[in-house]
Amino acid sequence: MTTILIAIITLVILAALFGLGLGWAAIRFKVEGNPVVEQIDAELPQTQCGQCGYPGCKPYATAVANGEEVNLCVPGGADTVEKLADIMGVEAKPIAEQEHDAGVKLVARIIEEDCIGCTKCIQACPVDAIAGATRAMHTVIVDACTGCKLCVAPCPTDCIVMEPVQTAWKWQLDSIPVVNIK
Amino acid sequence: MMSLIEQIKNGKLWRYLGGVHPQENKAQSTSLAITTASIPKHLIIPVKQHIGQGGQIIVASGDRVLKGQPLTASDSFMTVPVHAPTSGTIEHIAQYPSTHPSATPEIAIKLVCDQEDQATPAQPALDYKQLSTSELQQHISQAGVAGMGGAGFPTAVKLNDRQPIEFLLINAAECEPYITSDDVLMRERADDIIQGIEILRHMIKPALCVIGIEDNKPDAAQALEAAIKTLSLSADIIVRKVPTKYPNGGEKQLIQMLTGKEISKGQIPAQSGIVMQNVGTVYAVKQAIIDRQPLLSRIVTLTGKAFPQPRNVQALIGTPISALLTEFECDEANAAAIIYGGPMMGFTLPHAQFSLTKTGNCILTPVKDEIPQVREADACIRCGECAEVCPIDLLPQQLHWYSQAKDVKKLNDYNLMDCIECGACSYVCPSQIPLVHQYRIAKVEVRESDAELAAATIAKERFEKRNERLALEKAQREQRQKEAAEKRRATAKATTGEDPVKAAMERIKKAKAAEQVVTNAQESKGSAVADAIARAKAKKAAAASTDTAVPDTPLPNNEAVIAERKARKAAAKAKREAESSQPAEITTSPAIEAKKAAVADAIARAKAKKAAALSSEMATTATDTPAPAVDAKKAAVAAAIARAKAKKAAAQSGETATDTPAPAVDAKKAAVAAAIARAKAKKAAALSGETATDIPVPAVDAKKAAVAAAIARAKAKKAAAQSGETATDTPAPAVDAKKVAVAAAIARAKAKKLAAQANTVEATHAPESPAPAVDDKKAAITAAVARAKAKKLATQANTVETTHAPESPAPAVDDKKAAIAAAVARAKAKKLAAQANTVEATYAPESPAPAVDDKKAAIAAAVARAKAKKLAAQANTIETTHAPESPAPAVDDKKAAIAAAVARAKAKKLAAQANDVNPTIDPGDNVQPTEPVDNKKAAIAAAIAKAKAKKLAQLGDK
Repeated sequence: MTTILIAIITLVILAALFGLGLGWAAIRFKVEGNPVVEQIDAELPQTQCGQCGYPGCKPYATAVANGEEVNLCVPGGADTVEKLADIMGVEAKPIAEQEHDAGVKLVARIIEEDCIGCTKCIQACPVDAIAGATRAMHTVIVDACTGCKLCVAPCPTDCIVMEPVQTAWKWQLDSIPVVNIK
Repeated sequence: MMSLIEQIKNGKLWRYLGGVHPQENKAQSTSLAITTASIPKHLIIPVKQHIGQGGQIIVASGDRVLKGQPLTASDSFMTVPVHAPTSGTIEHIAQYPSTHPSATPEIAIKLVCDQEDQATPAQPALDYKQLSTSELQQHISQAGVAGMGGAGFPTAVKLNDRQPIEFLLINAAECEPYITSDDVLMRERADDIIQGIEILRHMIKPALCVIGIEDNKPDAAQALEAAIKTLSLSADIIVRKVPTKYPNGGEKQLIQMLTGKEISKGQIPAQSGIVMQNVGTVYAVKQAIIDRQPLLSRIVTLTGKAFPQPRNVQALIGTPISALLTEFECDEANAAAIIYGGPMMGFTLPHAQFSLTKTGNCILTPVKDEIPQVREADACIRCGECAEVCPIDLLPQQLHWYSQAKDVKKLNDYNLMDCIECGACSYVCPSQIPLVHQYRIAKVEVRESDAELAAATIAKERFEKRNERLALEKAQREQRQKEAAEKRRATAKATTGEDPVKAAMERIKKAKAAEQVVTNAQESKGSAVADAIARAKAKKAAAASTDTAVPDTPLPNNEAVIAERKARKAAAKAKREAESSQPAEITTSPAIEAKKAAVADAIARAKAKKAAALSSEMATTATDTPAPAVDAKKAAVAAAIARAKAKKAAAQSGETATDTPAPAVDAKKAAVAAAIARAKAKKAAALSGETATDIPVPAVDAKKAAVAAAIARAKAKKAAAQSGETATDTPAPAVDAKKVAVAAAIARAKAKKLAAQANTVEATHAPESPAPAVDDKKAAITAAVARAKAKKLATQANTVETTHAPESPAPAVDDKKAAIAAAVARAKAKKLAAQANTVEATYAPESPAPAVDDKKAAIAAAVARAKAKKLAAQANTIETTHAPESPAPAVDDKKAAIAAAVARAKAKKLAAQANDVNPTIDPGDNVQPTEPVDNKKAAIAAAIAKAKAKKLAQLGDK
C-alpha cells in the first residue's frame, strides 16, 4: 500500500516539476512574432500587386498564418499554392481566378508619345519601378517591374501596356524560325 | 614526399571517374596537310563571338576595309573586337541567325571580299620580353584573341598576374571523335605553339608548363617535344600524354588528370594557381604578338563520309559553311545532317547558311548510317549507366527525374549547374533518352527561378523602402505644418498683442452664449416676435452697450421683419468675427446667418448712399418740396433715405441733421419730407455726376411709412441725446445705420409685394431704386442681363416689352443685390407683359416720380406708355421692345452703361422740368427711345441726351 502511495506521490511531484519547468521555458524561450509568417512570405513572389486582397505580400502571409485561404496568390500560381498548403498543412486548392496567360511574366511599358507626366502611375507602383517626375517623361524600370498591373488603371491617357518580358530560349529545337533554303 | 611539381615532372598522372570511349574516327582527316580555303565571295562576321557584350562597331556600310582591320572597338578585356579577315567592302551590318542551336538573330557584318587580300601595313614584332603583362594583355585583347577550344572566353582576361600561378596547362587533348584540327596544328606549327607558350610564360610566370595531349596523337606530341628541345625549354615545358578517354579535354578533367587538383564548384582554376589554354589559342597569341596579326582564321576539320576527302582547312572567320561545303565538294544530298562540332557536343545546322565562328572546330557531315540515328526515347529503366560515366560525378538519373518535374530545389541539390554537357550519359543510355537536352532545358528553368527569386527579393526591398519613404514624407509634412502653425500663432501674438488662439476661443464662447440665449428663447416661446426680442436683448447684452430706454413703441406689423433682420445682422456679425480669426465653430443657425448677411448688405447700401450724398450740401434749400409721390409709399422710403443721409451728416460733419424735417405722424408731412429728401438726394447725385435713380420703394402704406418715420425720429433723438446734438425732429437716421437700411429694405420688400399684387406702374420698380450706382459697370451688367431677358420676352410674347427693369437697378454697392434686383425686375416685367400687355408698365422706373406733382407724374407716365407703344408698333423686334433704357441690345456693356445713363438723365430731366421753368426740352422728345436700329446711333443719341440732362440738372439747381 505504501509503495503505491510513494509511487503516486513521486509521480505527482515529478509532474509538478516538469509542469513548472515547461511553464518557465514557455516564458523564457518565447518567440516573438510568428516565424510561420516569414516562412510563408519567403514563398510568395513579392510582386506586391494586391490581387489577393491584401496590401502586399507580407500582410497576406500574416493572414495565411492566421487561417486565410492559401489559393489567393495569382502571380504565385499553383506552385505557391502547393507550397503554402505544405507549410500550413491544409489542402491545396486551385486558384480562384486564373487569368489567361498566367504563366507568362508581364512587365509594364509606357508609350512615351502619350505620357503627360502626371505622376499618377508613379504613385500607384508598389515597388517604385517607374522613374519620372512631374511634367517629365515617365518610364518603367523593367528590372524592377513585377507585373502587378497597378499602374495601368490610374493612367489618364491609357498609355501603359503590359508586355511579356523577354525570356531565355528554352531549347525548343523544333520551333526555331529558320527556313531551309538550298 | 615530393612536391607536386616534382611528382608531375616525374610523370605522375591522376584520373577522374567516368568517361566513355567512343569510336575515334580521326584518321580520316589527318592524312592531308592543312589546306588554306579560298577566299569566299562574302563573309558574315558576327560582332559578338563570346559571352558578354560585343564591341562597338566602328565601320559602316560601304566602307572598304583591309585585311586585319578592326571592325569593332572595345575598351575592356571582356569584350573582344573582331577584324576583317580579308580586304573588301562592307555590304551591310544586319541581323543574321547566330551559329547556335537557337539560331537567335545577332548583329553581323557582311563583308564582300574583293579577293585581293590586301592587308593593313605590317608592323614589327613585339619584343614581348620587354613588355609588361598588362601591355601584352592589351595587345592580345586588341588582336581579337578568344578561347579557340570551344567556349570562346576572352583570353586576355585569363592572362593576368593578379594571382600567383603555379601551373600553365596547355589543352592539347582534343578528345572528341572526328575532330583533328588541333592535331594537325601541332604537327605543322609546333614551333609557333611553343613560342606562344613562351609569351604566356612571360606573362603569368608559372612554375611549370604542362602540355596535356592524348596518347592517340603521337605525331603531334613528337612535334611538340622537338620544338621544345630546339628552344631548350625542356625544363620548363613538359609534354604529358594522357590515356585517351572522352571527355579528357574538359578543363576540370584535364586539370585533375595532370595535377590531381579538383577545382571546386563555383571556383576558377586561377584560384588554385592554374591557367589552362587551348593550343589553338596559344597559336593565336603568338600570331598576335610576334606576327602582329589579329585572329582572322582558324583550322576547321571537314569530315564525315559526305566529304570525299576529309581534311583540315584553314578558313577565314565568317566563311559561310556552304562555301566550305561547296569548295570541298561535300555531297550534301547524301549528308544526313550538317553538324557544327563533333558527334558528342556538336549541334545540327538547319541549313548551311551559317558562318564560321572563332570557336567552330569541325563541320561533320555524316551519311545516313555513319552516326546512330536519333530515335524516340524510351522510359528510363534505372540501369545507372549514366551515373557510371558522368565525369563530374553527378547523378544523371536523378537529374533526369527532377528535370522532368522542374523541381528547381532538387536540381540545385543535385548540382545540375555543374554539368558540362559532355553527352556521356546520353551516349550510354540504353533508352536513348536525350539527357543532355533535358538538362539544358532544366538549366534554363533553374536560372530563371533564381532570377525570379532575386527579383522578388529586390521587389520586397523596394516595397519596404517605399513604405518607409511615404511614412517619412508624411511625418515631415505634419512637422512642417505644425511648425508653421506655431509660427503663425507667435507672429499674431507679437503683432496684435493677443494670442489669436485664445481670442478665437473666447469669441467662440461668446457666440455660443449668444446662440444659447437665442435657442433658449426659441424653445421657450416659439414665436418669432419673442425670438427677435430675445435675440436683440442677447445682442445688447453681448455688446454691453448701455442704451437708454428706447421708447419701445408698439411695433407695427412689420415688427417681425425688423426683428428678423436684427437677428440676421447679429448672426452675420458673429460669423464674421469668428471667421476673421481662426476657423472657429460658431453654431449659428443658417437662417440667422443669412439674415445677418442680408442686414450687412443693407448696411453697405446705406453707406453707399451716404457717400453719394456727402458730396453735396445737404441742408440747402428745401427747394421744392416735391409733392408726395404718387403714393405715400415713396414718402416713407424717402424718409428712410433721408434718415440715412442725416445720420451720415450727423456722424461725419457734426451738423444738425436738418435735411429731413421729420414729418409728423401725419402722413402728409411724412410724404412731404420724403419728397424733399428725394429731391435733395437727386440733386446731390446730379452734382456729383452720378446717376440717381432714387425712387425708393414705397412703403406698403402711408401708415407704415409714418410709423417708420416715427421710429426713425426716436432713434434720431436718441442719437442726438448721445452726441449732444439738437436733432429734435430730425428723423435723423438712427444711431445705427443698420436700422435705416433695415427700414429701407422693409420698404423695398413692401414695394415688391405691392408690385406683385397691384400691377401698377411703380410696382415694377421696386428693388433697385436704392442708391445711385456708384458703379456703372454693375449697372451695365445688370442692364445687359435685363435686356437679354427682355429680348427673350419680346420674342416670346411679342408684346411691347416690359423689360425696362435693367437700368433701374441702381447698382447697389453689392453686386448680388443688383443681380437679385435685376432678376426681380425681370420677373415683374415678364409678369406684366404676360398679364397686362401694357406698355407703360416698364416705364416707371427711370422716369422717376420726382414729378412735381401727381399730375405731372401721371402725364409723364402716360407719355412713357405712349412711347413704348409706338416702339412696339414700329419694330416689333427685339430691340424695339426696349424702352429708353435698353436702347439696343448693345453688344457691349459700355453701350449699355451709356444707355442706362441716358435713361437716368432723362428721368432727372423730367423731374427737373417739373420743378423748373425750363421747358426747352420737351419731355416727350428726349425721352424718345432711341430706336436703335443702329447701335452707333444709339450711343450717340445717348451721349447727347446725357449731356443735355446734365446741363438741365445744373441749370435747374441754380
